[in-house]
Amino acid sequence: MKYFLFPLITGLILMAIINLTVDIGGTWHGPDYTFTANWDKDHYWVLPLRTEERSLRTKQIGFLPKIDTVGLGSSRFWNMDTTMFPPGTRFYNASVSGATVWDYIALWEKFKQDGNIPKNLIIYLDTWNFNKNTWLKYRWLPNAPLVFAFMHENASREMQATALLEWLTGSFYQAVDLINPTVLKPTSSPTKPTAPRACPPGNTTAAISTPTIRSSPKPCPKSPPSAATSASAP
Amino acid sequence: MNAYMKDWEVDANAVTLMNYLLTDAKNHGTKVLIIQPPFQQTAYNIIQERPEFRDIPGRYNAIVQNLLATHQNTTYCNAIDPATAGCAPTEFIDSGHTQRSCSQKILDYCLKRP
Repeated sequence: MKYFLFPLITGLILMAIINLTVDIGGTWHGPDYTFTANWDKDHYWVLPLRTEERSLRTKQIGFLPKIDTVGLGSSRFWNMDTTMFPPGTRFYNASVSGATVWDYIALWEKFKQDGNIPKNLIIYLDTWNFNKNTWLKYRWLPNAPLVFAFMHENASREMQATALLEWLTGSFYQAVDLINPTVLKPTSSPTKPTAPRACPPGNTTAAISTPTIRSSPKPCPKSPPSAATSASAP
Repeated sequence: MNAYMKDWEVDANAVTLMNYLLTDAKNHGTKVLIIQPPFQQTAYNIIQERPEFRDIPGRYNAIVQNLLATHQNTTYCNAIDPATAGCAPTEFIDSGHTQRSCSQKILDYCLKRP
């Protein structure tokens, strides 16, 4: 038996060390990008597929000018931007993929902490946001401190305990992922970046495109992305 | 869609959290608009026809209506039916993601409602 267990356990430990070291999407080490300013309306940012986008969102919110309308939602809300609202609207699209109510709370809390509370909040509430059995459950973990801050101020002790339990459960699954070989599976060719769907038309709309490779902010092509040419104010 | 909607059962924690969020938004003077986004026509037909999905929109609506009853700062725009906002079947990328033209129609419809 020990001749079987020893290589198995050694292999799993090795796999965990590799996953922890490589950590493509910053799952365990946090994102490795530095974010010191919001990007300009003429720029877009292409990110690797496994990028931990929730941290990126909250970092970006810290650099926003005063906003009056915020949109919360999942990938279904991604293509909403400033140009689609009445003129003069200072809109920020804070959607994250596979969003849950936990994400909405974290992002709302971030706006509060930054003193940038919007007058209007649009919540693109997916039908499955109230489904207990959806598999989109633990993506909010990177923003757990924001969730806990919100809960401390607004929630009952029972719900605070629930939040802690959810965090522990999610963290357990994240730890199990350390011995998941698919973490290292290439998701796309690193030499063939896909074009973003559209350049963000304003620096407050920041659409995160379906990404494949990481790069520094680069200018949008001059033609023909229509959204870029109709850019409005931040 | 199956992955998200399968075995739909009310998540009491999510409802409570939404309640907290709407209350806190109200306390900070923020108006909230909840939009239920549309599905592509074929997906919407499936939701309406299949027994495992049929009741979901009604249950979702009941939750939102309950929240609205106690949050006067919140309004609701139900656009789950693509025809509501006038989105054609071709204005979708897949079963649940809209093209920009449809997104604009949803916003126009929901923002202009009384």
